[in-house]
Amino acid sequence: MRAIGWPLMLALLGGLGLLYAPMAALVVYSFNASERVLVWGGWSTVWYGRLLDNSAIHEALGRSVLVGAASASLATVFGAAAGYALARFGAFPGRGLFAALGAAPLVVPEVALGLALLLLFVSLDQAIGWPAQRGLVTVILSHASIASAYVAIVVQARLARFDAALEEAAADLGCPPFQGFLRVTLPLIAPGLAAGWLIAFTLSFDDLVIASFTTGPGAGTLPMLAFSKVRLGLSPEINALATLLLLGVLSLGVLAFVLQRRR
Amino acid sequence: MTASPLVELVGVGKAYGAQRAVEDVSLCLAAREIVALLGPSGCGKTTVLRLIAGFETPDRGRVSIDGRDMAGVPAHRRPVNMMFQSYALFPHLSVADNIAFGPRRQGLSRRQVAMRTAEMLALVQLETAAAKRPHQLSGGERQRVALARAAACRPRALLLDEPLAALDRKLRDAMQFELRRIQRQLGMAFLVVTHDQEEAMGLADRVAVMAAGRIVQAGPPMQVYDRPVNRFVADFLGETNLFAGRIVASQGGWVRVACAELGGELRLPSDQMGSDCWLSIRPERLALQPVSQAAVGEAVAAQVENVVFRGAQRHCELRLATGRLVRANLAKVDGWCPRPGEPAWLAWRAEDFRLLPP
Amino acid sequence: MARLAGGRFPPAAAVTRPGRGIGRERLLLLALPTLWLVLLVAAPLVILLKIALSEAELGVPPYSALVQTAPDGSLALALTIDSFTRLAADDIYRAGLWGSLRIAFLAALAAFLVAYPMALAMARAPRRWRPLLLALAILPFWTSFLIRVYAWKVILQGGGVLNAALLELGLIAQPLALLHGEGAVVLGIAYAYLPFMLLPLYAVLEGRDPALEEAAADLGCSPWQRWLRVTLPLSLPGVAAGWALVFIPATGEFVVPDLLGGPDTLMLGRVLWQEFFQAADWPMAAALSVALLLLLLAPLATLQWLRPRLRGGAE
Repeated sequence: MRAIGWPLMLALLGGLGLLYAPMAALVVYSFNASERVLVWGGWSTVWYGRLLDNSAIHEALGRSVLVGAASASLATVFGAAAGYALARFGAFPGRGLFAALGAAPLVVPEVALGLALLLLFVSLDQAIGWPAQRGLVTVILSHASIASAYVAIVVQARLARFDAALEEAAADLGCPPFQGFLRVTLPLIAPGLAAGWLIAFTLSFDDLVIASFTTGPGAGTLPMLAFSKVRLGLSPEINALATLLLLGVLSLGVLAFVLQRRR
Repeated sequence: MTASPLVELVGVGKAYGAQRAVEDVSLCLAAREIVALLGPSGCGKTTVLRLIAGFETPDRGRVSIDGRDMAGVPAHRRPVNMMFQSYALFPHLSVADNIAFGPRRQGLSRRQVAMRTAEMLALVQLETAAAKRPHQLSGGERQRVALARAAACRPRALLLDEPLAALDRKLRDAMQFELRRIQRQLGMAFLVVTHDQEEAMGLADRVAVMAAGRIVQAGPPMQVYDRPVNRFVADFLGETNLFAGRIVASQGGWVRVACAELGGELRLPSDQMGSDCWLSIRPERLALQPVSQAAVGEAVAAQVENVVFRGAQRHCELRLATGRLVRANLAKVDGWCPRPGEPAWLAWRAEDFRLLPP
Repeated sequence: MARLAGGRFPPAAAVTRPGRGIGRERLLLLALPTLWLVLLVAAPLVILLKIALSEAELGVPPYSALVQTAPDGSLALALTIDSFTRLAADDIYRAGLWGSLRIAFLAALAAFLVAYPMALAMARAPRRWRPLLLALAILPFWTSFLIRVYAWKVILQGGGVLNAALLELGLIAQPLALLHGEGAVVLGIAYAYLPFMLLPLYAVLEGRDPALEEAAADLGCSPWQRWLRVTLPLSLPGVAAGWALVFIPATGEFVVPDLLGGPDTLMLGRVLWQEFFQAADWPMAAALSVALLLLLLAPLATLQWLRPRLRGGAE
């Protein structure tokens, strides 16, 4: 009665297979010795060796890590504050608008967001002369603005799992508000903050569209570099790069997943 | 009770992996009868209900309804209906649509469904709530909708899983009478699963006490209460005081039992053999006498520890010389009652003791 | 009475209740994210609208200032709906709009058809398997989006994995043109966004009381009726959320049509990208963004309207 039933079981296995097969194919082909992507020429790690020698990839990787870390840190601070306000302040005036603005990056398509952020920076430049040139800073701000929406959700969800009375209990036992925040709230949401940071980092590290709009000359990120190569067609070197990206982002994702589920 | 039972279980067993939920259960439910399946949580009583409803298949044994073997018959083709512990009301349907759900599946005409629904709503006195959604109802109202929905298909037997457990005490007492009224009016048989012994005794024509996947004792409530077959039943169905004893003599249906805690030997009717045994006595069968006078009948000295006023009764906790705590419930509220800390005679009549196997 | 009460007691609103309202710390904690949101979310969207209403110009930046100083020194507001009229008139934009809607719909439908049985199977799986299954379903979401789309290129390419397999099996004589078409784009989007459909469906299906389906069976429902009358209606909030999570980003999708689509596979996101990066027509790109946002208001509003109605019974 409570069994899954074989048609559903088949659908589940088929679906999971569908999810993983393309990535598996990619990983396998990244070890192809042949110059021609789709002709199997035996196992080899030659393309990984090529990647290591490619200085453009090194630089792009460095920029992506920097942008990811900086934007994730910013997003965690502002996103956590927004999530805390939404979870604990009740119905403060303007809450609806506040929540809508907080959630906007989740529903506005990337292309529109990217363009809007670019136009903001251009207008700012015209109005106050900053930023004179777009580059890593503008990408960091853009990624942080979008990622803070995700952090807010994670923090809000985490706070919703805990009774607000915990903070009231801290106050009742003589904790002034700031100390209560430090000693009770912060430890409670710490795993949420860590997960939020990792989500923000992953979003930034994986982003192509926003970065393409908001970056400037000489500040291309790794996905931008990968995209320009991928667009040209298949190459075994890209397969190797793709495999590394897959595994890199994946390991961060698994970490975030584990953190988020922790009690 | 009729010759052929409505629902019959013969030697039924069910295991989930290594965990054996139902060991070996045989049980009958006759037409128009209320049977309560009583036991502590985890004893397998809900599994028995689910086996009858068709949500589980037995590993061995036979379930038959109306004389028909139910092996291979899926839940939706079985002529019994179930009232779920969580009520399982469909949250997306109104009260009326919840009740009409079963009759519609039976292929009744629109008019018949409407009539049946109105009739069930009237039966549980929820005519005014027909258009409401389940989440707009109180706990008691939901319980009545669940009952009406399960009964709307006119099953010969209704299976009720802890029907009163989610209600508060007052409502629970009222609903016991209500359930009996509805059962008589519908002329259905009820099989009620409960962990509450008061509910079982108040509701059922027969009680079946379950423990560890088996039925330990079955019979009318009075009989099971007065003549429990072992320590478990005595302890689970109502309250009891148990004393370890030793049979020293046995003759012609009478035994003499030595019991150190009661300060001597008791003579009571039993044909139990062996030597070790348990003596069980209900708290309401014990009496207290002031120590200022000599004890009347059989008695031991005890110290009163605690007295709790319970409306119709006074519950006393007494400590015997051996350090053992004993419970006595005094029915006469205006009678003599010691205060905590005072000594008293704890008195009994030997025939009120039940002799139980070790 | 009134005089007495009015004279003696302060009005209720004046009574300060500790813990209610917004204290100083809270105000500070609120000001920080508010400023952030206004500057980096609200302002860009307002500016987007502004640019959409200005005229294209050659220069840096390639649009006219909205507030201009006329030769006589007076300020003039240079608003134009030129971009929007062009948007409505030009075939390529209309094709992009229609393409976006069609492809997003088909992709969401495909994702739904694959994800629903998966979610149902996951929700019915033994409890101890569920975290593993959930992790397996979410993992791809944590891998690089770009790379997941690229992987399909490897598979669908003329001499790619799928064609090679079909040829080997003798099912086809010639390699099929699988890539560079609308079908490949629908497939790519459905694949890339599958976790977004799967998660909300799983969440509602897993959260329901299994006794509800048993009750339906008990009341005479066959397995199929049980799904139609109980499981499906109760999972509608998840269905709506899943559709929104796939359909909304899919309409603005750029990467998938660019990598898997042909030159004639037009979607708003791709047209916008081309207007911006290739034609350097910023006001047009902004107008397209605004059109895209307006387009998405309808499904978003529908979802918002549906949510309380669908939740209805949630206790």
